[in-house]
Amino acid sequence: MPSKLFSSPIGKKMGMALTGLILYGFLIGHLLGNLLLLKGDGGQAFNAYAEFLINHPLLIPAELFLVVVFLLHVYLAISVTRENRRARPVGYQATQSVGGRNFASYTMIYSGIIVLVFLVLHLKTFKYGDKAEGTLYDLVSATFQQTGYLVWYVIAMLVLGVHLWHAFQSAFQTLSVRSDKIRSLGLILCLILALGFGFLPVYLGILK
Amino acid sequence: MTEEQSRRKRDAGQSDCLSFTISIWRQQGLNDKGQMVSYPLKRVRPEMSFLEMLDVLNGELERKGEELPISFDSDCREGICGMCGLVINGVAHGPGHGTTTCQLYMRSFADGSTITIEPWRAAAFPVIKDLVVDRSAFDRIIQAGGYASINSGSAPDANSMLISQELASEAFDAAACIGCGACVASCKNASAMLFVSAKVKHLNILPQGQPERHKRTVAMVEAMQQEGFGNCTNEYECEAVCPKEIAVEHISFLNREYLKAKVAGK
Amino acid sequence: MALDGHIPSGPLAEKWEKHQFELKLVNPANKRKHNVIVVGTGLAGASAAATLAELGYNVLSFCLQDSPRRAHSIAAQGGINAAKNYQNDGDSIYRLFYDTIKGGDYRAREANVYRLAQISSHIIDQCAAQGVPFAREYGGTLANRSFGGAQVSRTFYARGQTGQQLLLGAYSALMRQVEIGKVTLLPRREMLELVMVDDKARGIVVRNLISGEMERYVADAVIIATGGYGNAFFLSTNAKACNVTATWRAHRKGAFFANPSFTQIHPTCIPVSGNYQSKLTLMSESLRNDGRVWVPKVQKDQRAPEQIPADERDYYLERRYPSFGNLVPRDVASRAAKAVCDEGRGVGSSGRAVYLDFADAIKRDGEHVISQKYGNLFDMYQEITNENPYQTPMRIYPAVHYTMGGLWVDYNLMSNLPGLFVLGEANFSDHGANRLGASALMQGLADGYFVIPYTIGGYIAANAADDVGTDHPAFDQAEQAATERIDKLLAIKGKRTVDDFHRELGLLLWDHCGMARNAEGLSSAKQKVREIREEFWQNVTVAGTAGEFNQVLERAGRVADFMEFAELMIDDAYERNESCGGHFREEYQTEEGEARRNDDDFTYVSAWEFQGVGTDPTLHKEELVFENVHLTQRSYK
Repeated sequence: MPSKLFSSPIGKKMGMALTGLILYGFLIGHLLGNLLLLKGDGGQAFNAYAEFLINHPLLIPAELFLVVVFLLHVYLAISVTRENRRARPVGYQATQSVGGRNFASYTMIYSGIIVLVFLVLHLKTFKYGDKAEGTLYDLVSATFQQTGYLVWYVIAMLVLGVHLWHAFQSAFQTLSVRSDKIRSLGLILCLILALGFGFLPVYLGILK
Repeated sequence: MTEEQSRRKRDAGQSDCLSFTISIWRQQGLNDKGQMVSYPLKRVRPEMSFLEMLDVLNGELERKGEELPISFDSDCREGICGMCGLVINGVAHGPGHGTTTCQLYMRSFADGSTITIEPWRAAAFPVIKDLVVDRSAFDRIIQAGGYASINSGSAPDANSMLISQELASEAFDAAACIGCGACVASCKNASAMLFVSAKVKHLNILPQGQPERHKRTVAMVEAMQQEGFGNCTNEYECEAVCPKEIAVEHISFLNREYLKAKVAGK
Repeated sequence: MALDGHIPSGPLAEKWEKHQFELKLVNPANKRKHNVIVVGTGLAGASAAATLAELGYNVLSFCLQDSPRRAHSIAAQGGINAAKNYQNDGDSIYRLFYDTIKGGDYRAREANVYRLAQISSHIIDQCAAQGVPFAREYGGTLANRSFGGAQVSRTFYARGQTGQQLLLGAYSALMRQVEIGKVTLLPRREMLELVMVDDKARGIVVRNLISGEMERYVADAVIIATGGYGNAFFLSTNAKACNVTATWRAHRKGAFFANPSFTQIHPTCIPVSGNYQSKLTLMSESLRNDGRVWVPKVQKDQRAPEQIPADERDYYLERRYPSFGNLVPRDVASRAAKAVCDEGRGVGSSGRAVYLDFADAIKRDGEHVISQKYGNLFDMYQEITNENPYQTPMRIYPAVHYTMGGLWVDYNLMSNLPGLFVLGEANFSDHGANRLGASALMQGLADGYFVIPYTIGGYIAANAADDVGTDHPAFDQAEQAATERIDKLLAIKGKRTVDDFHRELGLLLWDHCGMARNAEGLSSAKQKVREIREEFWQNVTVAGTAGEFNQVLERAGRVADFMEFAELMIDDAYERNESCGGHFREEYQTEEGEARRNDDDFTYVSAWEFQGVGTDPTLHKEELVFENVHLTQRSYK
């Protein structure tokens, strides 16, 4: 396949859509796993699930795959945004949206950057966090006792939700599916993901 | 006031006059920095077209002789040539739906309001003067492949090629594009995807366009990229301002065509 | 001087083929050594430029607009005629020829019109192959409709945007040649002078509208395809930039202007609503298929149309022309509307409008059917007038739409100046005194795709062009003349705007040289034009400078030419003591108010030679010989 595909505007657009959807899938899986935190068994199920993943032979390849997908997504986002800025060097004095532009679509690069920062901190805290004194569950519980961290986490999840709101229908539009159903599904999914990921720390840190 | 009453009133020549503050982008030339300048304008009649309002303002400026009248493009003034195009209060072609700037009437604006008028903004559409921009980038995109290569005189009988009503109609929907550039102006990324997709689709779905289908798609997309238009991020502002109501489904079509062309090794 | 149309001898049906054979050919390898200038990129100009480039000539293509695709051909709504007889309803080349000659009130050349009808079929083939999305039948074949009162269905169409689609086809062919390198595109250029070297057209001087600089271009031949002069009237359905400048500049260099008074007034336009109005909008003629035209029976009836009972309405077209009714040809319908308004029975605020009523059609077919047929036109009407034509009758009035007159050309479409060819609406050739609906697109494309490629070759092969550069003194003189005119305009610094003068001129022409003319009015108008012109050159204000993008200066130059041209139009109307087609002289009418043609004295083309501004031009007559059709008086009773 000729190489220009990936440097073309359409190749980049499709790349964004595909990598985005893969990451979307990962988020759904991640949330399902995290729901084990709600089981109220002192983290037994959650820890067992974590153990299962850590010992799984496909974990490393899967992680590598996700890293590549994620980096590609970030790279494309930066490249596309830079091109877009160059395409309109002088902006308008008056702006008004009459089509589908909304807060989410207009701020994708910013919400994306916040999610990126969050991800780095998230990995540092949990995946590479100090688990010498207990299980992953203990670490998670302890972390969310810190109010500052909890607030940041919840806000980051809301930002993620906003990012996913535009992302979902946009990816499907790029891949030729545009319907009201997709729009509704996208809204429902992003609400579930944002609220789901946002509720867990609240549950662990405050409610429990 | 009912439509009927207002019509009676207008027929009797008594329609009310409106007043506006017109805030317009003035730029002397390509290398001038440019700025917004405000002009008060009175005695605007609601049934005046937007461009006639500018004609009236220009007439005042010409008579005063203190500054040059405002340059803006327009030609057919019936919504088909694609020459006119102003961003009015932040919206390409203004508040009308499925209309060009020349098809906009002053009754659409509230009396006493300020109307902001700016040129199309895109690196690929440099400002020539005031509200006039250079859209030759669109011509270069067409030049790259927006045609079926057939010399005059070599065509077979028109009815030797059957085309269903549905297909002809679908091709027409795409071919209706007037090349005004509102899609680029309204897109926050100054993307020309709606224009290119409409042009590609018109020919790519018709039998006449098949021999050069993949070549055309790739060439036109590459030309678009070279001209410095931005990327599509699916915000659908383009279809909302398109005077011919060309839908973003055309963009999805272009995405698929491009992929197919690449798979075919073009 | 008797004009020779260079019409080939032989039977009508064989003239073109015979002529094609007799024309000298340019060796294919030599074509690349020849340059051709094409001014204008409408249907005629774009199709000519593309086709000549395909043949191998180097083409320089000029237009005023930012892109060749904007030319005003794009606004044609209805369709394009062709004698395909796909409908099996009795159409033929001969019938299209006959209808066109008769529709033109026997003031066109038989040979040209027959060739046009012959070529018409190929145009459809060519356009379909380019991908023009013509309307189709269920089976996939091309659809036709009957148009402008024709009794056969021979009009091909693409919704209500046929001109747009055909122009985009020609434009795409043109852009293909730009890519190949055979056409150099020069947009935003305005032709200001024709350059003659050794009595041959060899180049043009243009103003670059962006930089304001003068530019010179040299070629072996020059083609003008710059459309009509309807904007002489200021208000017309033409685009704002349509002008007479290119043809007028050629006329001043010696090209004869033929039948300048033949203008077509389209009956169904949206009436003028105020003195700020910049243009008039045409509503497709097809509306008359279902709409009924009427005015109140009494003068100054102020009631709303719905409140006027049927027996107090005058359906004047149906009354006067029982067999054709609302479908009478354009000139007849226009004059009838003027007549009832002159009687004081016009409607609307100005009293210059008549009703076009769909109430009966909606009652008969239902709103849905009417909306399917005319939905976009009804929407357009509502957009402009803010009135709902489903509920209240439309108000319409005639407006200047097309000009049959133009530069005189022979059978080869070459003017009396060797090397200057004129195509499309800019020439006078095919429509006589009145053009049939859907024939303008046909003529433009016939000229560009299928006539000029042959005839220009014949000229170039027979006329070895000397090696002339743009430094030739003729170019110096032409550029100097153009520059001086511009400097003069800028130096006046008067009080009145260009548009102000243009409006005054337009109104004068409309009143005295419009739908109806008479000797007295024409004489006084001629005097008045001179006065307006004099004042223009003393009191116009043109802002800005020559060396910049300056739209006022562009308009001023065009209006200055209209000021000179208007007098010629009046002279022509005055000289033609008969009524024919779009030219209606009130002195020459029947007792019932119908046009009275005078075939004994006026079966000729009036070709005028320029003698200087303010000096009466010289008339040259090309006698029209009718060998194949019998001249009859048109009757639509």
